Amino acid sequence: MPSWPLNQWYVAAYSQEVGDDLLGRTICDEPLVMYRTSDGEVVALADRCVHRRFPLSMSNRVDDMIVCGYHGFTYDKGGQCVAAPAQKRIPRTARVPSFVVHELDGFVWVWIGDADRADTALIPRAPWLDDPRYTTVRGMEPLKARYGLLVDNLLDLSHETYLHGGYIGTPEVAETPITTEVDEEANVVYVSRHMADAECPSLYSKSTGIEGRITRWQDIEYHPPCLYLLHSRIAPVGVLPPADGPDDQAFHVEVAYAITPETEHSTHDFWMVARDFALDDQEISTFLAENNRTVVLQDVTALDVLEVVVEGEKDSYQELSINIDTGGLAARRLLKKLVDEGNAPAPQTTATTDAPAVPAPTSGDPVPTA
Amino acid sequence: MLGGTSVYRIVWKLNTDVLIGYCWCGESHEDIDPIAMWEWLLAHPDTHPTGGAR
Ligand code: FES
Ligand SMILES: [Fe+2]
Ligand SMILES: [Zn+2]
Repeated sequence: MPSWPLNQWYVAAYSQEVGDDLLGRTICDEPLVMYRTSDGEVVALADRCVHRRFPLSMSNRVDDMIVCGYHGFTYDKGGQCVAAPAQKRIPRTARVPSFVVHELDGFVWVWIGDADRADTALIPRAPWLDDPRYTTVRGMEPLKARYGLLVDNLLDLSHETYLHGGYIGTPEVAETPITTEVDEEANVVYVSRHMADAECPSLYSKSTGIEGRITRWQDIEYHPPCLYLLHSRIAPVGVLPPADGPDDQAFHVEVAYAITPETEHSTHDFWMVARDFALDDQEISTFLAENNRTVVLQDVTALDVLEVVVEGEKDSYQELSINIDTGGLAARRLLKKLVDEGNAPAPQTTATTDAPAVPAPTSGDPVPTA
Repeated sequence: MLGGTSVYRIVWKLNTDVLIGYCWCGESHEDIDPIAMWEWLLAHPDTHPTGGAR
């Protein structure tokens, strides 16, 4: 059984990554090939030719079909093999699995699980990532660590003070208590850290132009397994949102991560920073992108080391958790719950009645004979 | 803040090591260990005598 929940949506790519070219990427141990058809539809197929397993992502696209780069088996966008060299009749079983995908908020989401359980209404939203009122910079870093380590990392931002000192970490982050909430029905973890009077990290002083100390709010919303949102509010000290009307005296930075398992020991670390100010300022975009990438790479370096440590440790190793871990513990528990739910058989969709599953024989019914 | 009807909330008391946990049923509890705190919350309704109505 995989360590991630099945029957869930995962981010497979940014929409802009999927175009005419064949994109190969492994998602939850499934090697996929993705491309965009002439109609603009995103296709995701298993990245293995049925003939001798050659990766279709290293093959050739002809119109809306893929022609295998080894012996020329040709697949349509549904994964059906429609031609093979000199072969008159193509076996009906000659097909590669196709995956359910859905584009939303600038992401290509893929359903990992039973296709008939895929419901696009279950995809968590981040509409600002695809909204002209925000400018977004983004990237993706390969992480040689299991996805759970990135979840731990992002749910406890007190590490900013130590791992990202001089970037987004200031003393107040580690010093401010947090409030943690879990919505048990919606499966959301919420961790909030409101710093009333904090040093302004250079990332924010340079991008917002605020000089002096700030009121800094960090409100995390984690929608396990894949989507992590950090609502960051930066304002001069003492400036709180008005009781009504827009919160226009503050700067809003929406940080997002998509945490997608690649294998049991590697993860796609998609990161985005959206802002509602200086929308057309290219210099600020470049600065935010470079700075944030530096911060992400600091995490990647640390987590790559941790993966080696975790793989090498004895089974009996005991962690110690303190108050800063309240949110991380909640995330782990929800993930475990989703793993169990994802492995369970599909819930019955037929109307539930009080009738017993096996109708009791009525006396007098003829007994069927074999 | 989450607004659902089954939200657990843990607040870290300012300038202390104390956590206060609030179950969605209205019961609350203080602890200094987050693991023990989650155990207390998730044991609902066993440890929540007055709020076990739901
Ligand atoms: S491996 Fe693809 S056609 Fe032979
Ligand atoms: Fe970090
Ligand atoms: Zn309770």
